[in-house]
Amino acid sequence: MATIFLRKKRKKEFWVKYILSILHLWLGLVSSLILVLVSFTGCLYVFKNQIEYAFSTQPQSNQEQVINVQKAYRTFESNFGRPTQIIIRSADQAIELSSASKQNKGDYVYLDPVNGQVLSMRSNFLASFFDITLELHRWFLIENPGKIIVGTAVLMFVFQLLSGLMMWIPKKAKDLKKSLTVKWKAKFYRLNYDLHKVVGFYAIPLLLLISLTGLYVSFHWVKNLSIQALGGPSLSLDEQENNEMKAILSSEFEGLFKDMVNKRQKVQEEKSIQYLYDLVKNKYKDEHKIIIRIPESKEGYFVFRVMGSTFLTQSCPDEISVSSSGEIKDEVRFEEMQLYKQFMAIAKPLHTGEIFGLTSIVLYFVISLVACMLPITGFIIWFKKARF
Amino acid sequence: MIFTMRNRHFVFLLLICMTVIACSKKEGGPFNYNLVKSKLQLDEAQEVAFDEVVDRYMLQLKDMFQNGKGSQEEKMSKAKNISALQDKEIEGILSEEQFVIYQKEIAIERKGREIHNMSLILEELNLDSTQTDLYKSANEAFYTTLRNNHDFYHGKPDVYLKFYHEIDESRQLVFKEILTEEQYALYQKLADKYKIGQSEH
Repeated sequence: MATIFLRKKRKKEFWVKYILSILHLWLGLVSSLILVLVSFTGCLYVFKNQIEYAFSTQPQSNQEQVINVQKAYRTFESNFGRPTQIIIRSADQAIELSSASKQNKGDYVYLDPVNGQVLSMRSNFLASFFDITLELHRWFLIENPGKIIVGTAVLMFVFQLLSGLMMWIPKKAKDLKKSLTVKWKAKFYRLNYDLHKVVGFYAIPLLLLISLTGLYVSFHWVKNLSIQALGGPSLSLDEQENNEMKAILSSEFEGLFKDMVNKRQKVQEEKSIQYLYDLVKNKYKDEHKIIIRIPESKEGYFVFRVMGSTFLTQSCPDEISVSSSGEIKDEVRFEEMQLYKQFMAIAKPLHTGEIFGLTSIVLYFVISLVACMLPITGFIIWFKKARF
Repeated sequence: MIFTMRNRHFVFLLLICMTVIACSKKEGGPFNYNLVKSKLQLDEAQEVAFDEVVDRYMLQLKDMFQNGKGSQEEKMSKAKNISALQDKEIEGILSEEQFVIYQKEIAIERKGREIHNMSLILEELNLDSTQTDLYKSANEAFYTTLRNNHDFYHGKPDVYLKFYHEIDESRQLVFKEILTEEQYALYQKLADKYKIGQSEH
């Protein structure tokens, strides 16, 4: 029985490789079910935006190419209350306005960018479906223990990817070709072995990226370490010596406080959302998407996130904060951001595959399928060797 | 071996059940009903009936959020229905005037008590116009800083509270500067009474 889980060390096999292969098996057996579910739900979730977009009503081709944010804003405000976010793409694509809060209340509406008419609401069925898929993906619908279970399984997966890479390295140079090609015509067990070893090898870089960015979202200590490794401050406010984060927070507060005091002293004319949009739009001629976060009060700032139009910059936002009187408070270009802020801004699209648009989404879908397959093919290899 | 596999699945399922039960034992709801009651001036019988209704519906809400099926949006809509039923029962317990106060107070609770409480504290502090402007500016700067740093504490209530208290230290410094000693002492008393900074993310 013990040999099923603890094979004998082969002659001339390095101890390190032997131990890695045993751990690869054990951790694989423990985490396989969780990883299959996490990868499968990831596969489903990767096309969320495309599916929601496909089910929304889009405007008929508008001759007039002027986007009227003000009309859409007014329509939404009078029907659904104050929006919290606006997403604007082009005159041919619907403006998306939502009043969703962190509790996921509120409405999500597609409006015509020219005449401001309501085109459609976000499908409740799709929203519920993707909510449940996401909750399964992140914590199996049981938030606190689920996060730890999924996070630990992903941590094990990272180890398996690295140990798998070590195990993949062929002993002799002449075996390299065999380790890089799948024998598609081979019998089932050999094909299964090749799929695990060869396809797994090719998927390692992206799977590592997806896993690590997933850990960044799940574990606060991973987030803290990553931010510090990229030159950012420690997020642990407990530490007596962590003055950097405290200094950042207090200086941000002081800056905002001074601004608020000045604003209250000067009576300034409140500008329309159209004015603010045009102000930002004129600075960026080649953007492909603008996301506007609406402040909760008139003293707050409208935050514009402007995404570039090239393949590489489509998920890299420039951020501009504008007051309701049209005064630009901050303007930070993505390339000027500190490294850790750049990473924080793109961590989510890096994890979901949205980083380079549809190309990377399709690639991530395939890679997630591979992630789903690896525990299964690995289990079959072990099952065959164990000879039950 | 099949027996062993079954055992593994059984242990896995048992583990999941145990953790769900453990999580469902958290006490206390998100709303400050003691504060709502204090505004209603209930007699003894009303208070007993009020507590009974609130406890019953709080359990329903908890059960629905923890064990109910459906997406977050569906749960929010079910929560609205449960809350509407609760309000209907409460209406039967209270007088007309009391029910008007109840509706106002419960709406504040459901929307977010803290910002509202900061404006109540402002009223009780009796500040002059300059102090009022500075008080409002400090609060606006406080909540904006908290929101701007959302990415650092997102999804972590304990980290959120640490960020909250850290930024609150800066707000307290402003309050100390703009308020007299007596006003600041009163502010601290009121902040304690209204449980400012004591709720979770």
